[in-house]
Amino acid sequence: MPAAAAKRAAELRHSTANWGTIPRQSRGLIAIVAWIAATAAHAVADERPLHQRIDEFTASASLGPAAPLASDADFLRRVYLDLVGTIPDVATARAFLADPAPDKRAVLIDRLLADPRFARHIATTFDVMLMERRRQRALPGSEWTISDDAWREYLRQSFADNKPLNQLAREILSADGVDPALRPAVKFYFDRDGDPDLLARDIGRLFFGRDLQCAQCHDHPLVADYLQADYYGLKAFVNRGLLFDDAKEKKLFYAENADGEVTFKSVFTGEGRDYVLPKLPQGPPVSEPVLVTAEAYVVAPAKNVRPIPKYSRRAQLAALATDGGNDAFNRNLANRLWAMMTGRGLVHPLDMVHSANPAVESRLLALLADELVKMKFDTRAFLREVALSETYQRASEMPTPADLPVDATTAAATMAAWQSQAEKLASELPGLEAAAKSTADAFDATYEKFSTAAAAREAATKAHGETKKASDEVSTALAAAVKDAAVKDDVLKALVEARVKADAAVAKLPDDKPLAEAAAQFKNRANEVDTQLAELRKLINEKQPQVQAASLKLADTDKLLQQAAAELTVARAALDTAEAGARDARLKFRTAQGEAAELAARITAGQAVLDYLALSAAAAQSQAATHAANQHYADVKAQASIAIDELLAAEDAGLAAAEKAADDAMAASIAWKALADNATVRFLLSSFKPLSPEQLGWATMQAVGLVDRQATSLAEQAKKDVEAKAELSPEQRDAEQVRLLDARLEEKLRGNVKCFVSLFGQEPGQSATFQATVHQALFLANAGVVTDWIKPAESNLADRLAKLEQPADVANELYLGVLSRLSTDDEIERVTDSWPATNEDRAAVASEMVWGLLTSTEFRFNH
Amino acid sequence: MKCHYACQSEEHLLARRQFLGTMAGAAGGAMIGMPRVVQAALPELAGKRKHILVFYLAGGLSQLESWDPKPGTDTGGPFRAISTSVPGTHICELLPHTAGQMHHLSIVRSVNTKENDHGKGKICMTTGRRQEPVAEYPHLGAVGAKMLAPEQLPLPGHIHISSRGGGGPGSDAAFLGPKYASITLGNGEPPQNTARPAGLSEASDARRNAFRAAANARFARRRRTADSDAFISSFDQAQQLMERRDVFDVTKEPAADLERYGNHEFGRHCLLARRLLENGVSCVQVNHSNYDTHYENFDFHIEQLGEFDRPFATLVADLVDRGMWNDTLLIVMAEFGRTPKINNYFGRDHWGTAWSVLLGGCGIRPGATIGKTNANGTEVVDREVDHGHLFHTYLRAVGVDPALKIDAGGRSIPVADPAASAITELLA
Repeated sequence: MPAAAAKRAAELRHSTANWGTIPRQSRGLIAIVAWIAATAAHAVADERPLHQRIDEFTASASLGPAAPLASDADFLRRVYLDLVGTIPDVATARAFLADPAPDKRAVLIDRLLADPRFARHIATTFDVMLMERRRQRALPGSEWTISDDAWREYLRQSFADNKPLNQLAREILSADGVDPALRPAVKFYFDRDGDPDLLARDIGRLFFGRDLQCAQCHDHPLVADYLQADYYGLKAFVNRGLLFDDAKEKKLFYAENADGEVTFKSVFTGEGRDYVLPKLPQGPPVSEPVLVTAEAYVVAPAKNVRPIPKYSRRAQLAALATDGGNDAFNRNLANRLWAMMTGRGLVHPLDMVHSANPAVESRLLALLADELVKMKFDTRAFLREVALSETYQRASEMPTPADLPVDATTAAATMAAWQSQAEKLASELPGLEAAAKSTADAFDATYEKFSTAAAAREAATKAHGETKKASDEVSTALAAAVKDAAVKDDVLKALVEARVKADAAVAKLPDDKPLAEAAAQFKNRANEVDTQLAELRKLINEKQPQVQAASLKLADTDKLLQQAAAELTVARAALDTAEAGARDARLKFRTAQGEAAELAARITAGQAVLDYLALSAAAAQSQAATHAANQHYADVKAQASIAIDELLAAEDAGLAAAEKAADDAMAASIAWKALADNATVRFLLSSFKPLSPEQLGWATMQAVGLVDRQATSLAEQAKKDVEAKAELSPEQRDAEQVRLLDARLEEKLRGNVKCFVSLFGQEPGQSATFQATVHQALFLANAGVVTDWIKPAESNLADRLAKLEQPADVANELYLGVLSRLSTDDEIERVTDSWPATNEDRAAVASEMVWGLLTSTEFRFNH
Repeated sequence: MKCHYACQSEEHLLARRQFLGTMAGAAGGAMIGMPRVVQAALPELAGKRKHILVFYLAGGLSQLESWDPKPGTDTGGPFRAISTSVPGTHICELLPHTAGQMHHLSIVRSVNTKENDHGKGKICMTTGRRQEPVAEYPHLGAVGAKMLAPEQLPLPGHIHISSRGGGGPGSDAAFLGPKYASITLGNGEPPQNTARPAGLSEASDARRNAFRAAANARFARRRRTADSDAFISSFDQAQQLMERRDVFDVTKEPAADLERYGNHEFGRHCLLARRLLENGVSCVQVNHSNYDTHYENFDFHIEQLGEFDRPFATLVADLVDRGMWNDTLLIVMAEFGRTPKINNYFGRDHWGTAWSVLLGGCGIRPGATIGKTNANGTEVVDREVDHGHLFHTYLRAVGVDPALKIDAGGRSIPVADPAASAITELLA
């Protein structure tokens, strides 16, 4: 793309960033032009901040209606809950709302990102995401495993240090529990009992956004993208893992063997694979070193010995997933971070990434993933950009029709552009599908060859082994015979020598009988040994050709083995080529399919806007008609001589017009409400999400004044403790004091938060879905822990309220304290009506009001 | 007394009863089955919706000392078999009162779950599926609470009655979510937080709720979703539940009834179960311990069943008398049965290979005996079934389609294991 064009496109995009300066009618058209330009300019480095590009994408992907920016109070509460997991204290809320600075939102975001509560809140979020409130594995002894507290502290420290997210993922995926500093990370494996199927499923879901569980027994029946081969490719990475109880160290480890292959067969088709290499979703099979068993271990497995393989598949998984080059991993993380802030993934549900469930705006997801990699997986930097975006800062209530930024003409033009885009895609799909199919068939054929070659090599290896054994046996026998013969030959020589000398002696002493006997003995022995030697020589003569034959045969099988290995290498290379071709064609096809589905969803949403515009125009028209009819009726009535028929007709016409107008207005209003659903999904409206159990616990304790009270009582000690640390600079001291206070506060109030978690949390191992149970309501209504907090005591909120004289002051303190906003006039009025004139009645009323707001929907949800 | 032998499971933590009424208790049984006046004004819900009542005999009831006696064989033990109200059907002499109710009940004598572990056996029997690392499935009571309870019923849909425990909701609803998790009434105590706190007057409670309602009404004008509506209605339900707290108070039942059930813990629990069912609770499970008799199996069964028999039989008779029987599915189950082989300590060990489950009421053919074990009970010889078949049967009996799929966060999961099927000859 020429530089000039890129510049023009960039200018255009700059100009779209501020909707306020552009006439409403032009916005849609600009949006679509910008969208196309953005696509075309993809290759050109865009220097603008990410948050501006986010807004451009969400705006260009729909016709609206988009909610305006949230009020300062809504933004304040939302960003506190999302970044530090609680609500602001009264003083902060009051100061923020009164602050006239135009950049106060950005300043607040930066302040919260530096707050020690940020690390804890994000750690909690990741804990729940990764462990899904599973129960701690407690066998064989709980001290052998990883406690929840150790794991959470590991996560907290990781986020406090702003450890890159890919490094955190790498530590978790490769964890074995050996390095004490990283040991808590192994909890991910421990609390899943090291079960390869559970791990394959959860690694697929949590690290790659793909729930492949249904592909365990067959290709996914509903999701064409999810193949059984993907599931087993992932499982092959963890299939060699084992929980190892080290009785000596009294510790549990997650060890790994050097063997343990994965095979599968579809329960539907019976087809399967006997040779499954590990592979990441959508990735190529990992090529692995082929190690002979004897060389495969650093520490070989044995009884009570933790095996350490030379080549670890799990380490390979961790490295390949997190090096920034795996798109599925990067997008999954970006999508999850996005959902943490906005309440919804760009792909939703978060673990159903596939072409039939496309992202609302896949280019935005790609951008977020790319930027996350460029930021070196910096959580703070990424969340900062999301928080700065207008998309994040939108109001949560449905806008009015006046906020719809397009008229029918520009909307139709935008729709037409989308339609033609969709048609173009549709025309390309059959070709892509055919290519995917033919390359898949080619892969299957190549796999057959590979499978044959692999089996042939296995057979050749076996044959070679057997031949070698036979050859070794016969050689050994020959060598033994030769050695034996040499010994015997030596003996014979000695005997013969002795016999010759003995014979000479006998000749000299012919009458010496014992001597003659001895000489005969020598002769006999020599004859015996000679016979034995002859047998041995015969044997050697027999064995020699056998050895020769065996050696020839061995050379043959060795050649065959080499040949088989070479053939396998060729087959493997062909397989890799075919696999790459099939994968590429498949990815192209599925990507195009996903884009088509994404566009279709966009067009459907756009059509709803067009429908609304048509209905609203019709309603305006019939309203005008009613007005005209009424005017006509008035005119007829005003005539000097009234023609009764004419008057009645005019009246009927007026009534009919009014009825039609009412119907049309109703239809338009229903159509408008239908747009709201789309608006939430397309990030035009801030989502409405329940507070997590932890957020609810902390926010409740903050609102009632418990957190501030505890902080006051802990502050002095924290100050003293920090002052004792002479080595710190003043700035370090301030930071350390904040950190220390936060840690102690958390420790002090942790038990209360657990109370909320046990009642408001999801079932272990299940993903969180909102349910309001009667037990939760009973807890908030009657549990001693909550009712004690709302009784006036030690300058808590109820106490502060009870001491106020003016109802308006009461209302403001109350609403700031619980809902982080100022009270409205009608709320002040209500407080005024209920505020007792006398001091003694105020305590009870203060408690009632605090409770009434704590249990309100406005408090329960993040909006 | 805590037992220090065996597997240290919860089921082994056994308190030997003070009460040794055992067989003597049988004398009081004359009242069962006597005509009685049917209570006129039953609460509206009872008799219309289906209910599930589970007796869970924790630790593993011996089938040989209960539903499938083998007297006079090498495995039979010392007890006789007695005839029952169903001609030709015999049960163990430890259950004389129950014997009189057998024409309402049916026995499945051919259960083989192939599972001899307490925890896994419990999962099989209560969820109808074997334990899987990758998935958890909801308890029968949670399924019942979801399928059978009216959406707006203020009472919990899934209640367990136990000697111990209590407190917050259990964690047995899996993907159905905490709304359907069991509430345990530990020793008959009402659920947590159902009483207005001391020091909060009724007027003050009303005022704070009015303040809440006003805040909600105002916020609803800004944003209203299904979630916010559900949150508001949970408080309405809580208020209604508090108003009906008496439902959990078994002392509100007539003293004569308590006398008939037996004024001891298990008797009170059975009467409480009746009270809960009458008030519309969909699923009630009464837990009875302890049947894990690795030692002194026979003495323990004399004790346990001596306690179990009369209240159980009385409850069956009452449910029939009160017109609730046809809407209440009754199941007597455990995690497994006990070995035919009597060990050196006169005990019987864990045995999932050939044991019995008792069913009755809603949707079940009365007086039936399904399946058979061999002469000394060492194997199933006819109509072998497992937990999957039983789970399908329970659902079919209360009119729930076992093939029904439940949406669990985007995945669609069949409520019962699709590989199994119901015992159709047992269904009415």
